[in-house]
Amino acid sequence: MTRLDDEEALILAQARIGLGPSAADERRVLQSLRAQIALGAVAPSPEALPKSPWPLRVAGAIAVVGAIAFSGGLGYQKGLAAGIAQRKQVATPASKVLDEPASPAGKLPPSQAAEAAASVSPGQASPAPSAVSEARALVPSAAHIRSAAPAASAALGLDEEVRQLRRVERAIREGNPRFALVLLEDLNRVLPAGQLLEERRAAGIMANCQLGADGAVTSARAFATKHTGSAYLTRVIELCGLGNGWNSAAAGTHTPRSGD
Amino acid sequence: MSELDGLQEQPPNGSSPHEFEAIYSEYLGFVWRCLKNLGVPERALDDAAQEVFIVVHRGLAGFRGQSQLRTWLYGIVRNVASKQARRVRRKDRAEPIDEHLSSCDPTPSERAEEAEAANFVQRFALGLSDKKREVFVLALVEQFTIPEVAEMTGTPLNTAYTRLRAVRSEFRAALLRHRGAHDPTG
Repeated sequence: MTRLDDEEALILAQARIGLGPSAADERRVLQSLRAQIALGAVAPSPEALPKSPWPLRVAGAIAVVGAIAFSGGLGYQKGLAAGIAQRKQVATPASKVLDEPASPAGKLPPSQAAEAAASVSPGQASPAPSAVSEARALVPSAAHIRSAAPAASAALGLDEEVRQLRRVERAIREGNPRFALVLLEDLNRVLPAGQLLEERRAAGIMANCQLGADGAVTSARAFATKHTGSAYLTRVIELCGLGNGWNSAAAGTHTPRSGD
Repeated sequence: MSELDGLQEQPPNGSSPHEFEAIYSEYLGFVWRCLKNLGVPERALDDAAQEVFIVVHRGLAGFRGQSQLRTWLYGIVRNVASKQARRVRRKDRAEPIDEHLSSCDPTPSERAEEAEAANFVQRFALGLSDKKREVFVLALVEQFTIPEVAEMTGTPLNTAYTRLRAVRSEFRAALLRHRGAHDPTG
């Protein structure tokens, strides 16, 4: 073997290490994947699914909270908040427990957090230990979830919808419209009859406009015409380049922006 | 229907979805390096890797045999990388390659050599044509055999060998230049 062969082999070996993901990269991506899988964003074969969807849903909600918090802040959009406020008339004291956004770590007593994690980890749908430990500090207790169950089913669906829409929003803001569309598609499959359909439509239009998809601008015009009071109107107009002809201010809308 | 649906090539028949995390652990490095070497910028790596493994999870119905799995996985990586690259080009056409690599710059001292090698290899890869780049990434960086590379890229075996010879020669020349630049006395 020549010196150059050795050097070539060495630099390639070093590059393999240098180009690989760090442990943090590996954890972060896996965390997001687990969240999506637990939420039902990815459909495994039927025999792999748990018999009851309920534990899967709770596991998904917990994992998504963990994933969102883990990925560095929610960046919650006021436009989305406005839509939720309009629709969240089913909120009961019990469901309110579930409506809490990701709590700061340490807010829950460890025993409750552990109980929450333990209650959602039967079988194959459970997040793996590291996901559970991330989620433990961030979720309402399982006791709260159980006591809220009768009134919470609608709110649980809404919560999932809100969480997934936050992720969609983040993907759009970060310039990943394709990923936003994947998330939306999954949301539409998991919760086809949600309460934030206008928001989903707006997000889909914005993502398609970012992608430069055929028909996106036409859809945006139709949306702007139909939903003159939408909280998303200004952003749809901006992102889709509808120009000054659309007077969103007249509709009294708020323009949600990154960092709101 | 999302663009992702277009990526769902069916894997060969096979085993259980419970293998997902094992597959993730074993192949994230391969996926990550390939995405980087095929031009996905650092800021888009998370999403690109997730997209790859979402498709993997959806298609988990059937993995059997390492070679088939790697071939299938690389097909997904290639599609995701290609679409990401198109999106990046559309988004910021004027962005120089160096900006894609800038996040490699912060090099913890203990990993300086690996980071420098990674930077050199990535720059070299990004300077190649698409076809040569694939051979370089798979054969030299990922150490697949040429028959495997030919299968993974859908290239005739002889063509793959020819490309390997060419790319190896270019790599050596680049390495000599690199060595000269770093060791003017040598």
